[in-house]
Amino acid sequence: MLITPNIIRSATRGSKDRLKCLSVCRENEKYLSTLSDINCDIYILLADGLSEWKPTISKMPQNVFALRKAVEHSELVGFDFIMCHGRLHEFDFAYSLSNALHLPLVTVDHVSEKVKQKLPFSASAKAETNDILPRVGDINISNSNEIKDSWNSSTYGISITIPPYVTAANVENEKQHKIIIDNNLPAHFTGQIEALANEFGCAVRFGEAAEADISEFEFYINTWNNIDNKTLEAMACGCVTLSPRTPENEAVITDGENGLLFGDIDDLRRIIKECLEDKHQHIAANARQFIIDNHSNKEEFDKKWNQVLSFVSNSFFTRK
Amino acid sequence: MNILFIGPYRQNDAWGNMSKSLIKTLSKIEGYSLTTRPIFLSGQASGPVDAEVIKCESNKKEQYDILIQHMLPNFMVYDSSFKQVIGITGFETLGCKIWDNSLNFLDKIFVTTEAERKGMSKELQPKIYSIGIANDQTIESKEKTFDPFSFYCIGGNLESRGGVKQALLAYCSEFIVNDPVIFVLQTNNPENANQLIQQVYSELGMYDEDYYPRIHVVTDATGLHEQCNSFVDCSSSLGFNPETVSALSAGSVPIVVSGSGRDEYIKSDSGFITESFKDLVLCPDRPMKEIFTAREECFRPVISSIKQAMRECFSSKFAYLNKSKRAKQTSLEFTHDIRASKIKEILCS
Repeated sequence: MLITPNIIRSATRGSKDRLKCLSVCRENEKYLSTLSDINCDIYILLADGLSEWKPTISKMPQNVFALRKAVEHSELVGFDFIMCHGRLHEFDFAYSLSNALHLPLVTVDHVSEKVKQKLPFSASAKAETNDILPRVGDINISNSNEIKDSWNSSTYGISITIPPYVTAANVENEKQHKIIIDNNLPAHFTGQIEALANEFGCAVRFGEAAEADISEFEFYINTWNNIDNKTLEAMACGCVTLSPRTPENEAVITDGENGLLFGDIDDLRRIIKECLEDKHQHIAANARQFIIDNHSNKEEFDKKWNQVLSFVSNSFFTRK
Repeated sequence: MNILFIGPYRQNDAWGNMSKSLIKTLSKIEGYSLTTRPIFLSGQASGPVDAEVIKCESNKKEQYDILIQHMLPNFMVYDSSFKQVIGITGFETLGCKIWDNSLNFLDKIFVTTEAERKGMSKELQPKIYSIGIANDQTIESKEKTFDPFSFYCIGGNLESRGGVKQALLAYCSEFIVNDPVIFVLQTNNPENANQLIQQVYSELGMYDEDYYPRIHVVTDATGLHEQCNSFVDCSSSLGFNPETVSALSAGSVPIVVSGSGRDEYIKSDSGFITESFKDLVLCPDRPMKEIFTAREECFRPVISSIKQAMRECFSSKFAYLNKSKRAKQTSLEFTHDIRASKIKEILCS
């Protein structure tokens, strides 16, 4: 039974003690990897129905551990908080786990209320906003102020904005290839993407035929309804990114300036053709500058996350 | 010395009330600093908690000497970083052994009554202490009215071992609709309460429903001790219900079951002690598979004895007022200071 050890931990841990987080985040390898230097070990829950850590997306950092057994059968004793990304199905599981184990819940919002959930570009969340609004944690982190304000999460618990951090080590690499496409999508969305990749000879980001180094590509096709860490990373490497025209992406990308936006698959085809005609290369420098200006301060990113951990360290579970 | 107390004090039920009372006592132990953390034993949301209880949550020490866990034994842990690990729990039946494994690693066990202490498994290793009860003394005592004369129970455990059914059987068989009496049944589950009342009518089979005396089901317990006349606590569970102390404090005359531990504090001059008989625990609606089985025993109230107590309580205003006066005096003996000094002695032993 893990409950009482968790409660004892909440009363006995020191403000500088390394914390233990139980994460139910899925499809967030890139983001979790950016947390490698914060004062916390992250245990990701792997179970039937939950996807495995994908090393092709990001190598598992030293502070992340896979928990393959059910929590109640784990030899691990005592956690400090639960972390979940998103407000839909992930949240419900994290919330019930938080109640069951008496641990505070930290949420990370990657998207605003306008799109509700990170989804493939042709999908939409089937949920009423009013049903989702009460889904907040004890501490709520948002990737941007726009995201935070859209959820009104500042009215619940502690709310903080931490812009995601990305690194771009290979920016000097020569752009040897043209287009790479993010094919890390649920199976029923990959058909369209594969057809497109075949039509234009695009490389794919993940899978057996994956190209690992996106810095060698001129164009990166983001197939999600938000600007995720993978897309930010591509921008940092000086790739011109093509993203779906969603409210989420429009908040980050100004079409033709720091990236390109497409409306539908036909529009994407048109833009790809333009890219192959070398029409949009000038955007690359702007994209990289955008990342340098907004998403490259690791010290600030770690500092803000350690601030969150400090809040967690001084908090304990209370049922609302 | 620093104490870390973990208990369900944010719960709005009998466990929560007991936990709040314990915190108030522990915070009064001289030379000890108390830090509290909540545990939730039920799925209910937090209930109201007074500032005196909440303020201990903001304490935090680098090192604790004593861990006190007020919870079901299967939640309790042993942690060697504490000099003493103490468990406080409620033992509702005699000879309950299912918690032995969870309790044997503790240093000390606290219960509220001698009946609980004596009824515990003989195979337990830790020393067991009865620490008694304490009362807030905050209930304002008002002059009671007698029209109608009101019996009441609070947070009535509607399950078979809760004694509510026996109390209703006694009440409905002793009085009729024309008697100036009422039974106020406070519960968080009015639907189940109404079903139980129908079951009682059906089992008695004496009159048409309209002829049975008045029963009023309420969900809010506010003011019941002050306004009503007689607190009916016919539970066959061992241990002490903090509500009974609140009833005494308000001058409400309690009716309790002999052998249950309540009779260690409530005597015939301050309340009514009904007869009971030792019986196997037969509990079709047990909350957990392993507990409240026929391997345990309990003191079951004699329904005719409850009837007699209700009648006496109702019919003699003089006797009632004497008991009410004595009840208020008795409640003054249950101070947090008295219990705190008792617990301090145990902690030092």
